[in-house]
Amino acid sequence: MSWRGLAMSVLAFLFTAVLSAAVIAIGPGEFASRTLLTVLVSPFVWGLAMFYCYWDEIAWRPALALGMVTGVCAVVITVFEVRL
Amino acid sequence: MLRDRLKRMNHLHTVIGVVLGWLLFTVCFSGSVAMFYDEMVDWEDPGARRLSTDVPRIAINPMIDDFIHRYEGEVTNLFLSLPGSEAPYYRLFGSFKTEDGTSERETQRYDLVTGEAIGAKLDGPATWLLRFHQNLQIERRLGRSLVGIAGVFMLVSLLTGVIIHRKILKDLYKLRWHRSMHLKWKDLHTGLGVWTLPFSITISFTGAILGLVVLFLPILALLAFKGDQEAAIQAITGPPIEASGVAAPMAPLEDLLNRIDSETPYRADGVALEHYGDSNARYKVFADADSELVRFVQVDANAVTGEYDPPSLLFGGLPQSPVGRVYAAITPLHYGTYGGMLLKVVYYFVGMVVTLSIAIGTLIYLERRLDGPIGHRSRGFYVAISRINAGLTAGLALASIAIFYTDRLWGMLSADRSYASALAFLSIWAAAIVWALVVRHPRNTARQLLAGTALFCLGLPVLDMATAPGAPQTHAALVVNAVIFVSGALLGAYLLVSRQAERRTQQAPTSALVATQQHPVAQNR
Repeated sequence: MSWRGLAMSVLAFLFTAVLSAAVIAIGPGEFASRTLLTVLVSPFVWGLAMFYCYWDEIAWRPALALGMVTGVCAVVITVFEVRL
Repeated sequence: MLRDRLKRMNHLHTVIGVVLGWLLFTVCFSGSVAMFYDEMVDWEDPGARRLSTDVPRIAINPMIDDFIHRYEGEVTNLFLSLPGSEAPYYRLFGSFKTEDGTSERETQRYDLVTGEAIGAKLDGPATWLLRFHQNLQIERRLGRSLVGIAGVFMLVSLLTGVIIHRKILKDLYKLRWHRSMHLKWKDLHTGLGVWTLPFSITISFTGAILGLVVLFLPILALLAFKGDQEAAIQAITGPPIEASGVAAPMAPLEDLLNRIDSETPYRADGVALEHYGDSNARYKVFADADSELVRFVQVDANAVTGEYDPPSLLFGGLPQSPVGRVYAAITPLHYGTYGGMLLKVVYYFVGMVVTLSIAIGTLIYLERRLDGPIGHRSRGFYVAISRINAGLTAGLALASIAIFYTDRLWGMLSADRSYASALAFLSIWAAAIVWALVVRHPRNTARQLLAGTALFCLGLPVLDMATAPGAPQTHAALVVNAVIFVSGALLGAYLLVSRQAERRTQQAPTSALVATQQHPVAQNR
């Protein structure tokens, strides 16, 4: 596996984890349901993020997009309290 | 542009197959075998088999009292497993917290007719194979996470596989059996992959969820709950019931179970005993839900009064919402527990087909580099990988069946049966890999190892009857004997047919040459 592929997989995982945490923190619906929903969709989100990294012909574009969304979600987690 | 994308998708499909092919093969193979975990537990314990467990329930509370007083320390978790066709005895599991703060897990069996304590059943090959599938027999969290990650990558591999095969419906019925090895493998890989696609998606998705929960929960707890994992769990399942500290007599458990069996459509299978002996104690009864897409039906009861709440399809405090219902379906979907024995058999054979498809994918990769123009490394490198591949894949099959022999002939007598299973499994697997590296032709090695596997499979019912002549052939034991015998027969038949086909392919150029020489036009030249 190329180093680029490995880095993209790790970035996609970080994106999934931080996005999931942000959804759990301030997402709509009952807390338990949205947590379970997040866990249920996480394999798809991670898989699709990796897929997107390979689908886009310009290598830096998916990295930038995923990185930006991850950054925004990280700010959400840091600033907002968990809505139970 | 589309061509470039397809090329990248093909690359991703190949990369996943090469990097994780062996892990996916190992997980899929062990998972298929572990489908019959319950039945194998009965098979490997012939001394405890009973043809019928349909006897009136005896007093259960004295067994619980005996278990609690048998070990030192405060009991923190207590679970009772009721007699069934696969385990015809009462089993109590408990965690005991000692004074130095450590926790010891204990288990004890009780006779279903007399209620007397009988020797603890030691974990045999069935448990080894199940744990190997669930966490690769390494540290639980790391192992489960790795298996979950493999599930995600398998999903991506399936997606890319669908995209790169442009004529997917046509490929369903294409099998050029008598053509070159490469074409035969390619057709098999595509055909088997497409036919089993819905099953593969289900298994990889549910497996990814079951594995990733262990990885995701601490990360989510760290991010959303500042690292408090307990708070994260309680936020989902609700706060736990606290003990009052006031002792109270417990309602007879057998009465409650008899009432649940007669008044509800479900049959009790096990009970979690919370704060046993306390006035806030609860019996959480788990019942089989064979026809429902949930692992268990849960019936909560007051352990002092014996009154129970209506049965719930959502066990373990899952939220009463569609999401909770979907989450509850993940485990039965993965283990095929919702459709009886026939579904388990279907899961087993389709799982084996998926395993075969993964193995063929690796073979295609190696074959194109060994005999084709692709590949950046030396031929010696690919030869070595090819040999390891033969030993690793065929050796896993051999080790998985051989441990039933070593366990029956030696492991059952061993003081540490689990260790004996581990030692036998790893030794046989390692020996197969070494054998593959020593012997020159990897295809012959794989064939020899698979022939050994087929013979072991065919001999398993004989081993069972020979080593435990008086043991009754229960439903579970019959299923294990029959499925493994049929697997051995199918594998043996495949080996014979593929050998003949290969010989025919090798002879084909010679025959074609002879035919050309006999042709009138050729003779005139």
